[in-house]
Amino acid sequence: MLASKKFMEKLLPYHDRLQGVMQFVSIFSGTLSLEIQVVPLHDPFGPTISTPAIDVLVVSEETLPGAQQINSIRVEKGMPRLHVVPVEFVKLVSGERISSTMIRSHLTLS
Amino acid sequence: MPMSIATERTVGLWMPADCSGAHIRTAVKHIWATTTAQVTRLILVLDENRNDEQRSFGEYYWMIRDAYKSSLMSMSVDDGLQVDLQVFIYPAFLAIDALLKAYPDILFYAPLGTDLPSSLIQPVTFSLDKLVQATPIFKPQREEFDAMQPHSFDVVALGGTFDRLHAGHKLMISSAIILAKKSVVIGLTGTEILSIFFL
Repeated sequence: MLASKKFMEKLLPYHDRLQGVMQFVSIFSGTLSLEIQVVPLHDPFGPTISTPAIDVLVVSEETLPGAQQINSIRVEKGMPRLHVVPVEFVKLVSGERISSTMIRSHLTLS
Repeated sequence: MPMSIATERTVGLWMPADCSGAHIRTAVKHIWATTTAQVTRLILVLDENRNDEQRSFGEYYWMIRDAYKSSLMSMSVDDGLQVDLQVFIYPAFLAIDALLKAYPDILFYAPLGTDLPSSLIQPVTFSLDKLVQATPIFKPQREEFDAMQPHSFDVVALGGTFDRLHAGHKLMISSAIILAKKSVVIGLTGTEILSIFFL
């Protein structure tokens, strides 16, 4: 998750990123009555290594190794393993995979 | 004569959920070719057209993934990085009210004969006949996705920095929402830990 964050000066503040996530979530899941909790992460694991009730962890291909680490910590602590759902990268027409770093770099250059 | 200045615009594209990637690519190209405004946001709604059919998580996942992929295939790299592309599933997940509240000026495009919800104003229509013949899309087999059902796990978690939400983030968030029965826990990286690691 924290590998090579470039163009940090263009990184949006926490509040703006939170708003971006919540706007999309509220429209996508508008017909459901899901409880959505946003938790600030102060380390790479967050609640996944302290909350036994979590069943599934959705990760990007990039953070798949992190998920394996989380599961070994959970097993050590006597918590059930998480089902890991790896989501693929999405590519641009050029074949490059889209990332926040690319978007920030594009803002810097244009 | 003054030059007309292109205005920024949120465009909607209403498509049947069982359309192919080729249909989406052609429809997106059609929008780009016919609008004089600069499209800054593209909202793609996949209409299941029925509520009763049960889809597996895998089917939803492929549907959404292909929609992002196909839309991006029809855009330049610049547009792919700049346009806020969002894919929604109707009626199982998308709330039209929330969409209209967020983007009141949205202008929808839809294939001729599409039955849109009455709360939406008349769409700009185009003919699907003109679209290329659908070609089957190669879908890699992921049996574990097909074996999972929507709303089948109480608590689903995901995490990230989620800076300038892009298609990959939205595919992750959508997957988590589809799988969850009770709650979704989103870990959002605090700016201070990024600072510790990088500044």
